[in-house]
Amino acid sequence: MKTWIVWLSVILMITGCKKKPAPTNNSDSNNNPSTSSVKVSLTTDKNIIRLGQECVITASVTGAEGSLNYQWEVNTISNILGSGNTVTFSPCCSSVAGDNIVKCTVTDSKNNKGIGQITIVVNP
Amino acid sequence: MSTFRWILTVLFVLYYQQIFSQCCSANPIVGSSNIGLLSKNTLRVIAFYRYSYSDIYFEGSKKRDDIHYLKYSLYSYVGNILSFGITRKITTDLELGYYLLKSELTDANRKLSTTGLNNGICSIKYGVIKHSSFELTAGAGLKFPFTQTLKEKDGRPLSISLQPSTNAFGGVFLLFMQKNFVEKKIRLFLIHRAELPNAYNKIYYMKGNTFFTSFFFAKSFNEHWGTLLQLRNEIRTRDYWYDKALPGTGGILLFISPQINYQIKGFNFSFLWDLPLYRNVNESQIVSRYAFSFICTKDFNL
Repeated sequence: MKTWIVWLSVILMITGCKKKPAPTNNSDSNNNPSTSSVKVSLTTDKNIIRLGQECVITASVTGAEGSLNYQWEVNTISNILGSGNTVTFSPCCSSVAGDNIVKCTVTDSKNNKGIGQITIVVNP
Repeated sequence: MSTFRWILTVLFVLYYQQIFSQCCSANPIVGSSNIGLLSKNTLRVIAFYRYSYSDIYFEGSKKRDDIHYLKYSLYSYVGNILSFGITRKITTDLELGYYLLKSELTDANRKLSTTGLNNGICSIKYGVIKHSSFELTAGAGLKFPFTQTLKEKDGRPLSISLQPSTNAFGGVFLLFMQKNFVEKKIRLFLIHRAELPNAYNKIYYMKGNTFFTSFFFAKSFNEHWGTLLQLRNEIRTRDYWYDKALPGTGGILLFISPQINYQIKGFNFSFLWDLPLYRNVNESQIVSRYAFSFICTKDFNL
């Protein structure tokens, strides 16, 4: 009886785990930290693409000093391929259809940071 | 009495979670050899190869020729299952597998490929009823990743469909029933395998639960040759990314898999081919055009 209760409890604990809320990106494209002089703006060759297609996103940076580090993120499970100031956005699968918010954080050699973001609409 | 409770627990677990709807890709689990109980001190080694190619799209249960976001998706997989009979009624299994290739070609002609270890599964099976003509076995196990780090390209994780492993832990539950008709050289068996619950991986992606139900009809022609017909149903619930149930995941698939067996000097060689009978996926998804497997089995009495 004891074993049975332990098994059941463990299973219910695991299956009942609370799901973490998905991250949300601020859709304001000028969300650079206000105290930083580093401004990042993102442009793309296509704002709207179909699943299976891809687009190139370029980050333009002003106010930064020295060498720059680019960190790219997306609020879905799409692929971002490449590195540096130009990357390719490639939607992975039908579950990413809709708005994909791509964010690029740029850090300069004095550790000043700037953030730019852009929305790519993926049509199924 | 305790056995009865154990069965109840397994049945409860199998049907506890609500099935939202279900999905697609063929599973590396093959054949019928990795099921049932072994005699005490028998070691069974199963090696198999599986290839699956997908380039057809379905929306619900309808084929869609106008969708082609991936030109194809394929995998080539080798696996190994080690089973050992601890006692007459208890058998333990270790399942390991490696993707020799997992590849996708997008509509934009970008080819992305990976290789790597799938999750391992360590399980134990208990013979609830075991006679020469009838067997009922229940089992449970742990699905474990060899790494929690996802395969990456350019410093970021590749898409989930390309990952060789779920990179997360999970549970596996099994029910197996077998009826032998010795005089007619016929065996009927039914397997139900549930892969649940799955945990989140490092990027907060959680694979949906999977339920496989297979009915097998096996007939031996002579001491060497035999055939087997498998009717397999796969039900997958939706995947989750954080708390979001993902569209384009989950579904119901029904296959018929003819299998031919050849036995010689203690080795059993099998070949099986998956023929889809029915597919009903959530939203639109790529589904397999064909899949086949080679299996080699050998028992050792230690």
